[in-house]
Amino acid sequence: MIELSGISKSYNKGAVKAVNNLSLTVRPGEIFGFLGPNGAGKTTTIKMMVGLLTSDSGTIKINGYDIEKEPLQVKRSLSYVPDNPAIYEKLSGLEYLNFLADVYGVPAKVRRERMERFLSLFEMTQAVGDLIQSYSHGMRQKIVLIGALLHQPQVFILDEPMVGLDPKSAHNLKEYMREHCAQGKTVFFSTHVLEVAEKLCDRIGIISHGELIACGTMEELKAQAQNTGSLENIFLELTEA
Amino acid sequence: MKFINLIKLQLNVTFNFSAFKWYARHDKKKILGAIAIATILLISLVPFYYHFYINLVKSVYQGGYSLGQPEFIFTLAAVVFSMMVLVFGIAFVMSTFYFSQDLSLLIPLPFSPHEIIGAKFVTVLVQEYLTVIPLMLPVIIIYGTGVQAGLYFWLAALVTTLLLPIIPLTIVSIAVLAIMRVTNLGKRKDFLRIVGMTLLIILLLGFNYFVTRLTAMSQAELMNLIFAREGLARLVSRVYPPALIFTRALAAEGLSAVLNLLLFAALSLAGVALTLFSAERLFYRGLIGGEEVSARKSISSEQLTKKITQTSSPVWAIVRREIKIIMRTPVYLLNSVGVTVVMPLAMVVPLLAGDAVDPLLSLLQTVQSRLLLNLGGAALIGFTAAFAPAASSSFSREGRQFWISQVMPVSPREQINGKIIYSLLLAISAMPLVFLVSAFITHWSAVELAIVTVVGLCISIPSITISLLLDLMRPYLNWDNPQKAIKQNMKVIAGMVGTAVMYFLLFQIAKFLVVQKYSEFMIYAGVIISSLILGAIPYFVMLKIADQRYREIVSP
Repeated sequence: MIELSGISKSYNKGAVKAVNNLSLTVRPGEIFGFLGPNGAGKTTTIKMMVGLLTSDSGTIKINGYDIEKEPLQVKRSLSYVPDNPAIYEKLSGLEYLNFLADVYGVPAKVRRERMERFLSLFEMTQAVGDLIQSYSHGMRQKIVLIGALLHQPQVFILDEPMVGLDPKSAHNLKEYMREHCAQGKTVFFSTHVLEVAEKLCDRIGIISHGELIACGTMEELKAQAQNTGSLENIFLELTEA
Repeated sequence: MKFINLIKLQLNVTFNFSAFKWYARHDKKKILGAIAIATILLISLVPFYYHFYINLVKSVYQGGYSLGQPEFIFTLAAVVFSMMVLVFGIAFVMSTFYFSQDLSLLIPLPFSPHEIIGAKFVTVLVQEYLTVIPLMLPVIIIYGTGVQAGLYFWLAALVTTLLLPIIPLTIVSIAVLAIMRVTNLGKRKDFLRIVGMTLLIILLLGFNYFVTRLTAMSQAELMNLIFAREGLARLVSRVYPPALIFTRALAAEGLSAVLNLLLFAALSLAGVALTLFSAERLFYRGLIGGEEVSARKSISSEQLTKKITQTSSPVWAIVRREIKIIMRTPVYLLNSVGVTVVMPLAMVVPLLAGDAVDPLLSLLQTVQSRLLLNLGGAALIGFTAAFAPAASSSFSREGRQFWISQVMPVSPREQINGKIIYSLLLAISAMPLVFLVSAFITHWSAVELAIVTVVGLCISIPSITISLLLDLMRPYLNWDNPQKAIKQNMKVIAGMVGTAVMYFLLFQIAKFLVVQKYSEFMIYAGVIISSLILGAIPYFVMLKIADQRYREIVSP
């Protein structure tokens, strides 16, 4: 469960409001899509949720834990996949996964089962022994994804996860997100691929100029925009208004 | 014109001019903070510079002057500074030429290899000036005012100082271009490059040894040479012959000086031309294909099981991560571990070659007390920890990957403990040197070796914790080539200054205990306890601020 309550973040001593008084709740078992034009505040919001940025005001709770007061519990509850992951180039994929399994305290037997499953799911079994510096962009994205799934987080937060993934891996990821939520866990992801959001998400939030301008199921968004067309039409209408 | 633009761009990126301008307009506080830190660091270096370096230059000048050879100071300066550029330039040049992240942008642009290397060479040269000019200034001023030099001298001094790092840099550049070409062999290339760099250093030191050996001569021959005209200069410049031309360009009389100046400039230009020519032939062949790997092999279920059965605690996972990254990144390895091997070797090799061990041995034998020798041995380990920038660049080296440390569920306290443990492990890399010193000079017993090791590691702790603290306060994460995390990182200098303060205090404590004639046990215990207390202060400050710093630091 994710609870954002009145969070704001500004840069340059308040000159640039990246996120303005944003409140949002994502329930267990829900896939939530976070949309918005470039520079709307999506990544800033996500970075505040995972503890990479501090908010100027408001509260963030993940799985019931406050990120300011109980940061370690929050970190144990979530997994984060950034939009352009920089990872240790001089480690092999396997060493990177082992490192994450160690820091998340995943027992050897469990990590083996999960690694085998996810390496196979994302077709990384052959490459996992190589240094990450030899990986393509998509392979890096996949190894970060696998690393993020090793401890089976309650809350899975992804920033533009489909970028760089081949169609099969993107499909497998979407399938996994559904499976994850079916277990009562939460998925929150940002994307520019509106078709994916429309088909995959239980609810969608649209952010523009740092403010949440719309939030709800597809039906609710259509009602709010008074537009019965596709998500693309609704998105363009709301963000250009 | 486009070459000039490329140089301007490279200088801009290297020295962050655009970023400075942006911060000057939008975030004055940040830029003022950076300026304040740089100023404090510079001021803290002034006593060392003034009392130690300038006095050293003065006494070398006076020594030469009393033999009627005041110009000797130039030969010595040219040899020492050129050797410095040669040895420390290897990792610097390799990293700037081959590991900059802007290469993937530059190569597809219509630049030829010699233009890219030419521009990068200029940035390295400018950075070398930042060291060479402050070191040359006192040499020039002390000599110039001492002999009341005329206008030619001051002009020639300006030109030769600017030329001085060029020849050694071109030697290093050509060697690095060749090493990278020969070692561009897929999976094992990092290992081969470390071997290549080590061989190059051995070659340089071997040359030094060989030349010094050649000069071994009888006492009478030596005296004749020393008292001959330019005797000292000719003797010392055998290690690095251009030093003699450099000296004559500044101190010879009349036309000879001008001719030597022209010769020195011509040699420098020839070096640059050869570098650019080599770049055209070798650069792309050493670079392109570097990311390719041999055919990937699938890992079987059994292999996977084998490789993941060794689970470890988060702290040890961090220790292992840090050590693997240092060992596999040639630039880090050379700067962290290499320094601990290269520095002492660079000092010991000429001594061994020049038959200077005997006098050194007799000097050390005059040190009556084994206590002082043991403390000296411990100090050797302490200095290794201080000179290897493993701790002082620990947070900075994480660079763009710092986000992982911020989001993982491991408390900053545990992460810091991991960093302290691996820094201590790296301090142990001084042990071969300790054994070497023991075998040839001090002949420590097993118990004494144990004392040296334990006291040495304890002495290292304040250096490690103060360096980590200074880096944590303002880590430099936004670098685009690993060398910058060390070479352009003020925290590395700050760490050394911090360590100097800590070691000064420890020295005073040890001196007090020795002078007061406490028992050996009490002195060792006193040094150990003082080290632990001094180390604990930055450690607890770090723990106090770590949670907040981990939240405040914005990963690039």
